[in-house]
Amino acid sequence: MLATRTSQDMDDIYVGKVLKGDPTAFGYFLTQYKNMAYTIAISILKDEFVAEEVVQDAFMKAFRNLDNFQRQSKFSTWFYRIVTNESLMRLKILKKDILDFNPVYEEDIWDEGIDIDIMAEDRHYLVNEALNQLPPKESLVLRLFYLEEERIKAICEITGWSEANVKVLLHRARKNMFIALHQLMKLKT
Amino acid sequence: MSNETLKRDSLRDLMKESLLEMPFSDFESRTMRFILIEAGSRASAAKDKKLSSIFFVLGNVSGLLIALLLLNTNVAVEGLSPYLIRLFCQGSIALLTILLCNSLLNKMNKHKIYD
Repeated sequence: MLATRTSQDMDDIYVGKVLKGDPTAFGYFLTQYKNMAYTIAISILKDEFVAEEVVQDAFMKAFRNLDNFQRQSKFSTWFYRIVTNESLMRLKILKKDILDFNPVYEEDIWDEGIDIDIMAEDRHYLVNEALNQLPPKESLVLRLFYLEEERIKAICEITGWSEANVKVLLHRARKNMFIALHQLMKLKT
Repeated sequence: MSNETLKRDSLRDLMKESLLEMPFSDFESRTMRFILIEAGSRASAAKDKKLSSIFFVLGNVSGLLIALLLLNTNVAVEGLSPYLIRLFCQGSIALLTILLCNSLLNKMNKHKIYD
């Protein structure tokens, strides 16, 4: 909690600096939020080059609209909303044919219960590969939930979706994540 | 501990691995360069904003004055009746004012997307 408050205070200080006319202070936000912004963008777009472009656009938009940031929510929430909107808009423009993940024998695997026993060195690859296979909304909700303090309310603020919608998506995403992991591990062995 | 809780805990641990690093090492410097260019153009735009407001008001006032002046004259130019000249001037001023207001509103809205 203390860490959150400190990072929020730092955000406020740097927002103030930028608004007072010091554009170099914006570098703080680039360092602080580029990785999470990229993670959000790649969840939706599934392409690292497009995701990088969208994150850059989102930072530019945040800089341009910083004077409209009313500090009612955290800077990160406000900024991630921009990243999410930009990514969804780009996805619409690209009309990318992202194939929805259709798990085979879904119920059987779920009922069995999966023992997640992945070697430490494989974890990063497998988790991100599994997330890459999920539909954009599901991988986005999973990452936002587990990487951002596990708050449904924050996800609703960022995505603009209703609480019920987020809960359903989260449930489905968890289920599909286990199945995707299971299939990837099966392929590996 | 129930099976469901176990699954949730293991997923929580696994999801810690889901934060990705920006793979382009020059991302920060590139974006910062764009930010600084944007900040520079904003500063010069702020200067121009003042001037453009002054000229906008001046143009409108002088246009109105000319229109009013023409209202009281009865001089025909090149065979055109004073009524037609007046109508033309008033129409042009009205059109210019609408176009300018429209472009001003568009510019203002552009900067108010995320509030």
